[in-house]
Amino acid sequence: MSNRAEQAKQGLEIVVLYCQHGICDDAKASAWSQDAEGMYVRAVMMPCSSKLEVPYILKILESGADAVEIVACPEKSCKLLTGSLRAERRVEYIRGLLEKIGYAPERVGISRKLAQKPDELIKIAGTRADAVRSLGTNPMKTGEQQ
Amino acid sequence: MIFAEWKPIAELIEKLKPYKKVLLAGCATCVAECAAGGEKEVETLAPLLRMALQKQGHTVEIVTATLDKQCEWEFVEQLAEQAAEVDAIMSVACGIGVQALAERFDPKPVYPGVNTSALTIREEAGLWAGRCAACGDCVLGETFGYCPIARCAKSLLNGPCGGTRKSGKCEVNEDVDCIWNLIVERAYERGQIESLAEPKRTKNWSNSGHGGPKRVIREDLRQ
Amino acid sequence: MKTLVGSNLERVLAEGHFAVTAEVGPPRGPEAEVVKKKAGILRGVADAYNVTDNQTAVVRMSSIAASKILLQEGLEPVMQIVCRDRNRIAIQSDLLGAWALGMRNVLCLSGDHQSAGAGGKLNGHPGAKNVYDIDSIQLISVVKGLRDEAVQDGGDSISSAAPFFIGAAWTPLGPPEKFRTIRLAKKINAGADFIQTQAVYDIKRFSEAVRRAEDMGLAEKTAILAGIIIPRSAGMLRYMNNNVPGIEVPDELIGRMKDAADPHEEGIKITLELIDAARNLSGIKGVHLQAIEAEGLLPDVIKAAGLLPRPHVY
Repeated sequence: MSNRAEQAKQGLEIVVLYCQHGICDDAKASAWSQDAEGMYVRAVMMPCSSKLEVPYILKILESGADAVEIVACPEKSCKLLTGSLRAERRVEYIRGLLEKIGYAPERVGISRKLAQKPDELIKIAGTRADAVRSLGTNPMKTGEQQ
Repeated sequence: MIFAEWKPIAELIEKLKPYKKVLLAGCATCVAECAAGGEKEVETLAPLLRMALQKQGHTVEIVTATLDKQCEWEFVEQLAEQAAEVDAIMSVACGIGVQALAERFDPKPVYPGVNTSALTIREEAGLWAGRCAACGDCVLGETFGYCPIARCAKSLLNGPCGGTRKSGKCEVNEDVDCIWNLIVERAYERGQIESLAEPKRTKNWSNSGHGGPKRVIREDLRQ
Repeated sequence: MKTLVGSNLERVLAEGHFAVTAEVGPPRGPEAEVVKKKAGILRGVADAYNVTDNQTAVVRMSSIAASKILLQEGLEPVMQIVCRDRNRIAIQSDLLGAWALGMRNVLCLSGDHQSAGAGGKLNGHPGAKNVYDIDSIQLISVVKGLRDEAVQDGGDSISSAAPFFIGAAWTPLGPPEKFRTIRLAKKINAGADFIQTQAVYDIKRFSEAVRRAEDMGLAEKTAILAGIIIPRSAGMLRYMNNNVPGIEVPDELIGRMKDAADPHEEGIKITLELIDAARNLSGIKGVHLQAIEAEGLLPDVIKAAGLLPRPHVY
């Protein structure tokens, strides 16, 4: 992450936080990153989407990521029963907070998928990137450049 | 617990924007219980404030700290070093904590980040409800354990007003029980309805804030 | 005839007449003319006229001032006092002032909460600090103290007694229904000389409640006046049934208003039936009539009910 400014020029930075059940077994990895078309994807595996605390997600945005996508289990498949539901409520809460400070709520999103291959996660990140592309880069990143 | 909730963020930004460096101070007691001013909330509010300030073109550094208790001098003292390095403090503790910081760190400006509004219980996850009004003249022994001062919109002492809804809820808020409806129900259940037939005289409010600022001395505890 | 106060309302009731009171809402402005105009419409059709105290928590001309204007116009007011806006000091002071100005009947109420704001039709003052220092039953005791013992609530005496004929409200069909009779008893024991009820539409349930009051011996200790609001439309009845606590409107009445070719006529017909039903209840000593923002309807209704002319008791 040494050359953020470089990445910003290249495209959007999308952070994907996925439940350990959101990725297929043979691709399990705690964290990885990848350049993709028009974006740079950072992916981090979580024990469960419900472990995603509000401050953690906000700090990712504060550090300049353009969007955060949470990949949670489908509601009925959640191993912790209500874990993915909690994650969804937190995402709603964060979106509300972002609106209050004049940030687009689309900078945080959630999708519900099981056992995805890495390139499928990239695709999900791409959808999130498309949702925020028109917003421009995160003002926090611009700030860093100044 | 003492209940507080965040002030509108726009209001906080207005207060913080003139400063270069600000301490956002939480309290791990009541306001943590009501999810307004504990460590988690401090670490939620801090990035939000940083993002909002930067978006509006203000360069304000925000550092954070959360004390076990902001209302005890021993804990307040723990902030001394950090407080010395900032231009202002924003406290997300209750009004007691805000004043403790304001007193200890005078003349450093201290701003409240929350509105302190009630004495509540957490009825269930994510739901808080008022229970006590600190009225200074407790009647719970005569009202079957339900407080008509804190929980009746009109603080009635002699039974329900005409505003009890068909649902048994209060006319002021359809999600809130008419507390007199509950008091009466419990009195019937215990076969003690006659006790509610007795008139309650006008109340002495002087042991609450209505009697002037509270000041209590216990000689046995003084040094 | 021995009376406590000698107000017209008290005398009418003491002589055993079926009493009629009507409501006069003060204007949302300073015009005495508005009150005088209403007085002109209603003169002679009721024994006394309730002057509301910032009802639904909307600022209106004070009930003291509007009561005084009625008095000057020859109408006897029932000055309403709510506990929302004044503490025991202000209320007692206003009671002394009201007595000095000639008011003799008061109605003691808790008062609509300040969040009411005319049921959302106006801004109101939801941010106001309410008072509720004393409640309606304590208020009755306070007025009784000023009258019977010439003493204030705090124990200090007043230089001479201020005798008021004391009224209170009763919501017989509000939950917890069983307790409502006990609360009525508390009001009567505290000193309520007369009672005006929440608007009645369900005469069957109302008469059962009145019978319970009679069984407790309450109906002879006080004079209960049945509250009646002239229905103007099916929508209004439905609204009251759903939104005004303590008002129960049977479906049949809503249906009648809905199907009526002339809802105005039907509303008056229903009112007359309700008045008639109330007159046939042994525990009911009069009616309290309200035609919200349509006081002009009252004279014809009262006449049609056979309640005119009002008795001369002086």
